[in-house]
Amino acid sequence: MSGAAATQALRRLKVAEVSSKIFGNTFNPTGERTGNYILRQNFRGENMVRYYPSQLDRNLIKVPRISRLVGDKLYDIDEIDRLNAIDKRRARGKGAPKKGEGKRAAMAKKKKK
Amino acid sequence: MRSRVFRDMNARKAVVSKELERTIWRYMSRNTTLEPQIRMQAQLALGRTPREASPSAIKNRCVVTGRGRGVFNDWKLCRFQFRLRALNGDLPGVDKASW
Repeated sequence: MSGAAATQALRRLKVAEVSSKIFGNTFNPTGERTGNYILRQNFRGENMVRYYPSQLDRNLIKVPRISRLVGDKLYDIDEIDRLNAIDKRRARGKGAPKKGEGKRAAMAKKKKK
Repeated sequence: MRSRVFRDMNARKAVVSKELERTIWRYMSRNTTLEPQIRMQAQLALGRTPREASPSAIKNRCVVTGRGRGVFNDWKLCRFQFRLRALNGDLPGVDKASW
């Protein structure tokens, strides 16, 4: 009786082997570790590199500069407010000096002389 | 920008450059059908690749502040930046709970 069972098992194994060949499956009756799961994994390095924003993205994130980068297509309320405030200060003579007309620039000129 | 963020960026670049090599070593070292000596060599080679090239050495940091802990991965923000933005209404779909 046991001999018959053994032949049955052998036959089943053979059938499994043939079927795996036909359907393109792997035949691994002893459950040996082939490491194929590693080859099946996707490469994720490209996604990892894209985690931090690039320098261009960084510049775009800075809101007041968006309007300057894109032109006057974008409408940035904060930026307009800021420019208005600067204009008001300038009208009162309180605006920031131009490049080379400030206190430090004047000191530097004196030193050169 | 913090130096830790720079380090993390470099680590990410290293991961990309060493990814193929590492998968090969990993495959060979985990494959029990290969000869033990070959597997051993593959394991040693895997150990010799720089530490920062392993994906597990990478830390998702806050994109704004560079904070390493308490970072929400969905927004790439640390908890405080997340709170600021959420209260400001910058994060779509995020509401302050109230009941």
